[in-house]
Amino acid sequence: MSSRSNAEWLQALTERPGEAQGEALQDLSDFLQRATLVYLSLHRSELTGWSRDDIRTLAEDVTQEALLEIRDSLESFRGDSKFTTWAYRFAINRAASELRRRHYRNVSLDQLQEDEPVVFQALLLEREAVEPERMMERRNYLNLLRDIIETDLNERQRAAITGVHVQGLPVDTVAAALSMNRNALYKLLHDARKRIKARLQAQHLTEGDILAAFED
Amino acid sequence: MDPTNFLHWLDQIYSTTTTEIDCDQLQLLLPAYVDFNVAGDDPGDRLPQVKAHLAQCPDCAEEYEGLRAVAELEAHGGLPQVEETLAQFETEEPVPEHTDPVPA
Repeated sequence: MSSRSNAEWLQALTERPGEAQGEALQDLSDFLQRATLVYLSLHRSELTGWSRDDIRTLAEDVTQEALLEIRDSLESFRGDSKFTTWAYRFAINRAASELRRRHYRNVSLDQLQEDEPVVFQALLLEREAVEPERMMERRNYLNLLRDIIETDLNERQRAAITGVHVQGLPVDTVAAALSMNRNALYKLLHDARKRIKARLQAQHLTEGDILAAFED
Repeated sequence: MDPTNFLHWLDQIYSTTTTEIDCDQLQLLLPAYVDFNVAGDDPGDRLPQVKAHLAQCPDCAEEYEGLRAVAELEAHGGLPQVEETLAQFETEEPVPEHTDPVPA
């Protein structure tokens, strides 16, 4: 574990190139690589078939990219966490993005739009005996939600809901298919949620009302 | 959409607030949130806007879990060495998350 305080990390990393800075960079690189490997080990099911050398190379690449980003971002460190926790965030963000990119490389906008018409279909399949009145109630709620999605949301919001909530794809992956970044997609989905909530509340429907129709 | 996803989505809709922090803002606050957690504080109490975002964004939530696991290991004995973790890729079990009770 690092014995440097936050101030000591900052001082060593920002001083003139020399022995102290070199040591701090080497230590930070080592910590980042170890943190990256811990993260990758938690997601080992996504690395099936990878050799030890492949994983080592991925961790080294992530570490190098994170180290560059950290050096460029040192001025933004506000000291409200441990320096190392702040630094690990860059490596984990990079490692997570890389795993998602490799795992879901061919998702397209067309693929998201193909599934739009069947968004709620699976919810009406009868897995168990459901009373006809209850099934009618479910159908009515789903028709209302479908109407809200079709009339109140735009094409990109519909595709985003299909990708994230129906297909269960990562936000990063859906964002890439829609040619935007994760932050923009979050805002798009947030706006969609606000619109849907407002319409449901305008009809005086609570979450409990709808849950009661769907819970076993 | 399967029933589990639907009920989760419904909960996300009704939990929506007018002002939510976005992913960029979340990333800035995440290290402090993790450190509160590792120190045994209730991070959702200290940074409720982070907790709310994590309930809405699966990618940020996944990165939170990863960062928390790393910070827990560092706080309780240190991160395993590179070769130690690499060797564990060849065994069945992933690197365990720290499981000592969190101080009250």
